[in-house]
Amino acid sequence: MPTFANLRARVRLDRALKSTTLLSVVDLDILLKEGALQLANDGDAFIRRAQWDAVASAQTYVLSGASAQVANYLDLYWEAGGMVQLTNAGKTVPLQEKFRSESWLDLHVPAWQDAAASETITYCYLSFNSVGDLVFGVYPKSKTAVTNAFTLYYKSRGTEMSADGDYPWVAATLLTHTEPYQIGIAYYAQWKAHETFTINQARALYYKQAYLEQALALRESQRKIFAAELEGLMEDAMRVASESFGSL
Amino acid sequence: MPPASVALLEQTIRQAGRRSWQEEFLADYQPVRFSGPFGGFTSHQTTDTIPQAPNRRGLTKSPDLLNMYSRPFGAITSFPGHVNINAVAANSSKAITGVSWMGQISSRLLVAAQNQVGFDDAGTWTQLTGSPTITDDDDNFMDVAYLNDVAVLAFLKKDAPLQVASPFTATTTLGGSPRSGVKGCFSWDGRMWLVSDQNIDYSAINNVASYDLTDDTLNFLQTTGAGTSDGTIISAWVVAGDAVYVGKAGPNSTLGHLFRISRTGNPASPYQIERIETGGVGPSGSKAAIMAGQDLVFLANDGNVHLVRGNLYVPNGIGRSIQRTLVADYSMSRMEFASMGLLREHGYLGLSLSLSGATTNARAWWYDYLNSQPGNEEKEFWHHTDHAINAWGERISSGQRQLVAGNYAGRYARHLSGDSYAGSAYTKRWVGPWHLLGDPYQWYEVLGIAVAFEPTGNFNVTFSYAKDFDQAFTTVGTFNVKGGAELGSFVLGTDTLGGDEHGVAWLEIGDVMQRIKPRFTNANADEPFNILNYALLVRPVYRGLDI
Repeated sequence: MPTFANLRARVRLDRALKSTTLLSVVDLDILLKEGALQLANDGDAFIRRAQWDAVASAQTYVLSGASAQVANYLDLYWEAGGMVQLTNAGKTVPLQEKFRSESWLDLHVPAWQDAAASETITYCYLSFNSVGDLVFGVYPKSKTAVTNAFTLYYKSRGTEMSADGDYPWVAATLLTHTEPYQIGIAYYAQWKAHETFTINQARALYYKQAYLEQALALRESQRKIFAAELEGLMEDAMRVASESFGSL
Repeated sequence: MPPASVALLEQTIRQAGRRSWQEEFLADYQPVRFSGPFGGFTSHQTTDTIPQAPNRRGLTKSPDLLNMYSRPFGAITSFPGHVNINAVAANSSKAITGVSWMGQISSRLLVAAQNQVGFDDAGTWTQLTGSPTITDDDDNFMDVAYLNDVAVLAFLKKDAPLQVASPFTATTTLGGSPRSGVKGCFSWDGRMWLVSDQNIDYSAINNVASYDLTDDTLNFLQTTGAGTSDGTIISAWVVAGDAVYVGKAGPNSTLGHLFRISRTGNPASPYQIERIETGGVGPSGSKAAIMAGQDLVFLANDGNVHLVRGNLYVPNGIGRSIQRTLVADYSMSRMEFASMGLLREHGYLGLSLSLSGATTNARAWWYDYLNSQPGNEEKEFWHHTDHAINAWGERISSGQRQLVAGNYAGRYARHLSGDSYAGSAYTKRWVGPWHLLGDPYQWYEVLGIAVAFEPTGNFNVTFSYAKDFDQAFTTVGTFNVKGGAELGSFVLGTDTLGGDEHGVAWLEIGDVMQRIKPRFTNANADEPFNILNYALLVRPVYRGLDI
């Protein structure tokens, strides 16, 4: 659980959605694929780490669009630090604090595009290029080619389920750490099916609630992975406090 | 949609509220209940002519009924079974060609099996010795008539008539030099009457062996008013109390006639023939006419069944509802060998017929002559069975007139409620009419079906449905019903009472439709079932144009 077929069966467990005349297999598949996408976005279900090389004199790198550096990009995952630079000297430099908007650069660093290329990134930004691709930019431009100069933690939409045995986001692989929450995809489909096909608002709201609960819980679960030291500290502190002073 | 957030979740929870599961789920569904009257079969091609709405009653129109019957306002019921009377098949398993109760003179069944006749003695068929030659053919129906303690036997294939008298051990050829070509006989007005193709000869009073073929005969060649012949032959003869109906038709005639013989009161010419206008139809065969109640009912070669009350012909017949099916699917060339009998216990008239291309009867249609309204097509109830019956008869057992039916394998069986089915069990199938679920322009989601069965024991019924005219049936599942207890025969402290008062069962359907035609079939061949009523749980749904 849950493959694409499992999710379909789960939706049909709602007896009002059993009819394939009312909710066709094709329509249900549309809703389930949509549900997988929404849960990836709302629940941070599929966090990926990608690396790419710096290119000499390059100002921007495409994240979403043609010739993207990463696959199936949805959003930066800030909980994990977002972006980290690896310098030519082999040092890692977090870029989280260096993000600015492009308009901020225009305002505060006139002619920033003309600055000499440098290994040291002063600021970075997200923007769009002339064809609408989402790009990641650096100021100053990259000076030299550096292998794996950028490490990105991001939310991915994953790949769409297609075959009966496909799992969400990674067709051939079950991401077991998200498995308890994947029922949210079925809830999403049931929500939209009642909203669209049975026109049963009460049932739609019921499933919307169920979906949101799963999405928020999954998001929290993912977040904790990158807050291990905080969680650990809190657990440790509580334990020490309990032993020392009774309880907190 | 806005991104997931705790605020959105809280807002959704407020909107959704918390209500009972019934409010949330079942509130939108309405029961659409179907109860009687469940009529019989009609072969209407327009399948949706009966207006239906929630709790509005309509008649059943079903092309797929088999071995089930139903009375108006009664349950849909498995047809009564039949039990073989003879343990060993008669005459090496040849077809039964005649059954007659010798109540008047011997209180036994006289049973013909093609080329032999015999008596039934407590379930054992014993051939009578001395039988002259009888044509060995399963269509060679035997007629039996009684006069003055003598039974006269005549055969449709025109074998020489026989007689049986005390001590009932052997048959002998009928005396009195009867006409050759006798194919039937009846006893009426103190005389024996012998039927041939164009003549009916009658004997002297109380003397089966005295015939005057010149004076004591009724010539039906001239009665048709067509000179020498219009191609018709005497096809049926039925005694109706103070009169006798005589039909003329025949396999080579496009016309048919019906006459009635009655007394004149004139000793010199004691009988007269009265013509009954039927619009050109007459009985198709010697066994395809019978008295049911006070009516003469006969099958004609047009595939319709007709009814005459006294000398009044009911226009258009009583078989219009099955006529198109008979013409389409049944053997017209064997209409002359169709046969009829009465299941008096139920008030049913049985009509046995052959399917197209077949050479033996394989279907029996049962007409509810008590509840039907002759002339009102929608209230003429016919029930369809695959009983294979060649010859019909009756016997009296403990005062009850019981139907005895003879098959093609040397068996004759009684038909009674409660009897199990002899030999291989019969499929019992009931198909409802097209039920509109409400507004004919509205689509409905059908959640499932609840059925109230009569508590007749443990049985399983497979349920299927069709939802559009050109669609095959979809099987949903099987009702598994546990039988109820019948009070009255239990021993206190010993027997365990249990079961349901009614066998109410539920199956989920989960489909969307405007109309539904339900089908119930016994899952196991030997399990009859009776349906009191059924109800669908439906909910209107919005659909676009893609259904």
